[in-house]
Amino acid sequence: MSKGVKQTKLFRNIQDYLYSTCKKYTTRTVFIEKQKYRTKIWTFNDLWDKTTQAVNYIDEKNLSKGDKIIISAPNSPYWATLFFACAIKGVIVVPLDMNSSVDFIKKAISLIEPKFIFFSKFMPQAKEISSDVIYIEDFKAELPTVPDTKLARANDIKPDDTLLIVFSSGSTGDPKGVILTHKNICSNIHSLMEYMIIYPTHRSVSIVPLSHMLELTCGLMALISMGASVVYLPAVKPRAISEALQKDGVNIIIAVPAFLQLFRNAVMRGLEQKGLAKVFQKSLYLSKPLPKSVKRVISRVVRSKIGKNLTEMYVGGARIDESLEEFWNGLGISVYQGYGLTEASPIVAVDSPKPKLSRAFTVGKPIPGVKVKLADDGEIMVSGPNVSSGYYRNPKATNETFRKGWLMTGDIGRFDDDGFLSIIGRKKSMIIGPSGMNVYPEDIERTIREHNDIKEAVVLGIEKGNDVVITAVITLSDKKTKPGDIILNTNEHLASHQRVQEVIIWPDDDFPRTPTRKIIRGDVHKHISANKSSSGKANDTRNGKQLYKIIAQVANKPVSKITSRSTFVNDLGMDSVKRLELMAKIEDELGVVLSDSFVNQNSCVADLEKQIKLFKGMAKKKGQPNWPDYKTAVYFRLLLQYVLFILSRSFQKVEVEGYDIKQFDGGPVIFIANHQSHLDAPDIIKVLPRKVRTKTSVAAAKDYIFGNRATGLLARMTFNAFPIDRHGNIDESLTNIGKFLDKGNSVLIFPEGRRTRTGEMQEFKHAIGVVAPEMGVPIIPIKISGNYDILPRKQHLPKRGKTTITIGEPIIFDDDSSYISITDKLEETIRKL
Amino acid sequence: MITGVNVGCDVVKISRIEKMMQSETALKKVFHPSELSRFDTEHLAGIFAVKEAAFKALGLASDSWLLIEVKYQSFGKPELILAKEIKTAKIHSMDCSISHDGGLAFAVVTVLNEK
Repeated sequence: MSKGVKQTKLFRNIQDYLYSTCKKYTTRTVFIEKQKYRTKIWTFNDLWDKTTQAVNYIDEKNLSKGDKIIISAPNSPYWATLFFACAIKGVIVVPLDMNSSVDFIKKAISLIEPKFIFFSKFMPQAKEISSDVIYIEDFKAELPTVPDTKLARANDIKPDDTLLIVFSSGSTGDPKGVILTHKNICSNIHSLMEYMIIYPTHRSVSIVPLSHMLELTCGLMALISMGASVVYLPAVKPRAISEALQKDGVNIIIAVPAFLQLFRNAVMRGLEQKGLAKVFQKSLYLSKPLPKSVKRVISRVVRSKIGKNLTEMYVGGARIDESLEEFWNGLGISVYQGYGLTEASPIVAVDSPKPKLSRAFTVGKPIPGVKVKLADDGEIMVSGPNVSSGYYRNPKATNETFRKGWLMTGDIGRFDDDGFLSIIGRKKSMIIGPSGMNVYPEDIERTIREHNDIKEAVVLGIEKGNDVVITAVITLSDKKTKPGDIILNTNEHLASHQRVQEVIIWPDDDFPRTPTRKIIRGDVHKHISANKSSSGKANDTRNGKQLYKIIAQVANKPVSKITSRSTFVNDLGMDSVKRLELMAKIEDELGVVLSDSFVNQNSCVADLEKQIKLFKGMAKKKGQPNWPDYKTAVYFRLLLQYVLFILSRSFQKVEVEGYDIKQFDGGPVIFIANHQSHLDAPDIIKVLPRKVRTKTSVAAAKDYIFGNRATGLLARMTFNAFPIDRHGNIDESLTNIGKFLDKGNSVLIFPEGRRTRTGEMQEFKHAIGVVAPEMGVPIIPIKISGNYDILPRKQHLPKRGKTTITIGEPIIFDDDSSYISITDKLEETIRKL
Repeated sequence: MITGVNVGCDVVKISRIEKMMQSETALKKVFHPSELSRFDTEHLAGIFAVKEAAFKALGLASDSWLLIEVKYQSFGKPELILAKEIKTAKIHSMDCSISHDGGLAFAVVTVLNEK
């Protein structure tokens, strides 16, 4: 099993792990932080520096070894940084799922007694918790101001010190916190380093919440320990994931089965629309015996829809259907299934890409260092350095689960003759929801029984096709109670993955019971499942268009009530708040940015559909060509620019004053200037140092310069220009500007939007006020004078004259100014130059 | 010379703004970063209402959220700052007022017009 061992040294603690990793991969990329318009690249060096700053940050908060904090926030490099900093200081991190109910969070707080709770601003629960909350957004904003004084190499964190306390389920009952030490996690990372085949060229996109050990240990720590990089999205939405798969070179993902299912559906829907589904199914079947490389060639077209680079998917958290595994393997995308649980840090076994360690439809072999044996009843027992020492302040549960050094997993498994492990099911009644979250029926039952009209309740996971539906079977003391009310009442107190999806009233007065009065769950399950299949309810939600679903959600009406002729104001009762919600949802889920202004008294759903189509049509053309970046294009551009400079010298003298740009060495910037003449852009380009000039792009009017193919092409060739929409669509312009800045290019913008008619400077469009803070780069203001006399609007030949270009100091804006004040300030600054 | 007066008012349930505060996308369509620096439901509901009232009083399109900034003076009185894109040539002066109670935020904006 030790064949092909890459690394023999076991990390002593997380500081040792992080330091070794960052010093090994130094300038390679570790995180790709996607923001709305920009993409920020973190190198391993950056990660170490930021972590050092975060250590100082938690020092300032007076956190020290043994203190505890809760983190409940979306995945981001800052989550990781905060976690690593705590680990280095010996501060114990308690991650909580962002969907935890307020009740659960309160219970966790009273058990853990954390010093601080790091929440996201955008979590509704954050407002209900009054004590010692720090918003992770504020942590992110403050971090750059914290000094990054060097850390001592040695520290006093021992392998057996606690690193994490992780709640093994979002249960409403008494939460069980799994204690995990530095040794637990480091050993799991170490085993995975031997078992997975990961190179620095691997790149994943983070999907599973970091509050789950699958993501924290595997998706973050194991991956980057081998030099791989991780893409973090501003929001984990299907659209954002598929964009990352297509555009950010993601070639591996770590996910739960529900995700693979979702993407299969998306692929199949696309094929069905083109009438290719049947052909595809057949080719999938025929290509089965072919090697992966051949499958990938055949499936190229299909794969290009989901991201052509994707080659591997590691799946954990719940069992994956064989048909689903087969589907992806058929496309030439390997699926490796793993088995683990929070108590085991979490990986116990995983199907490995190494040929001798791989077998389809199993969870592979136990990873190095981890022992697995089966009890007489088939229950999987695990022991090894990755196994937790027990539950926090819960000796009873600890004694039940940890017996003589063995972790009783409660899962029933089977080894085949070659030692590959398969999972058969849960020993207890636990439901594994499709998202891989463990749902404990007992917890939900307890909540339901709090309802006065209910005598008894049994919660079951009823299989419906590939889904598991959380079903509550109840007996009533008051027969008039409506099941719908009970669901509403109960679900309010439950975490989202626990919510009851269906209520059934048990036909008899009481459930079948054992002589000792215990309900026989198996019998209830059998009865309900049998009746379910015969009733055969149609699953119509999938046919409903996504847009209609969104509208229905916002309007709080059933999808069936929404037609293309429903009017927003009268039929759907959408006032300004709801319309905003609708626009935001459409933007998040469909990627379509619309303005609310087209909605009037009479507009209906069909109008909205038209707008969306229009946007999508435009978005298709939105992509900017790559050729202006080619070396030959750059040289040709310089040549064209020289020709222009020589020509202009015959009638124009250009003088530069003010700030010396050569002093500036801070990456890309935005130049803004007043606009007098067509000569403005060439003149500014001319006075820039050559190094900056080759990397400067000019924003040009979409309807004017790019309205004509010839001028558009010429503008791209000479000025590396890109279109900017002066009437409205600010989002598209921001996206374009962001892309050029990401490439390391500076951008020149004329915020007046058009050349002056009178020689006087005009008011700036307020869009520039949005650009400045959103892009997060310095602004360099430039004032041009003289060009209006040389070549004003409506004149075709230049007169002789002198042009003065005055350059101002770079300006950086705070995160909390207003767009209006920024616009005004920029205008003022240029006026005063 | 003052030629007339326009008034606009608006009322919004504070709980609805609380729901909106879960969506960064929605917030960014309505509020300037300066307004969001106090991340408090009542405060944001008040700003929302006063902006809606201003749309009515000034006759602006319903998506002009970011063309208006609401600033609080040191003694707590809100003040409207308009982007230059809003033509203010015919405005003599304007004033606004916000109130909260019973889970509601209410705002009124008056505009004096001149020739």
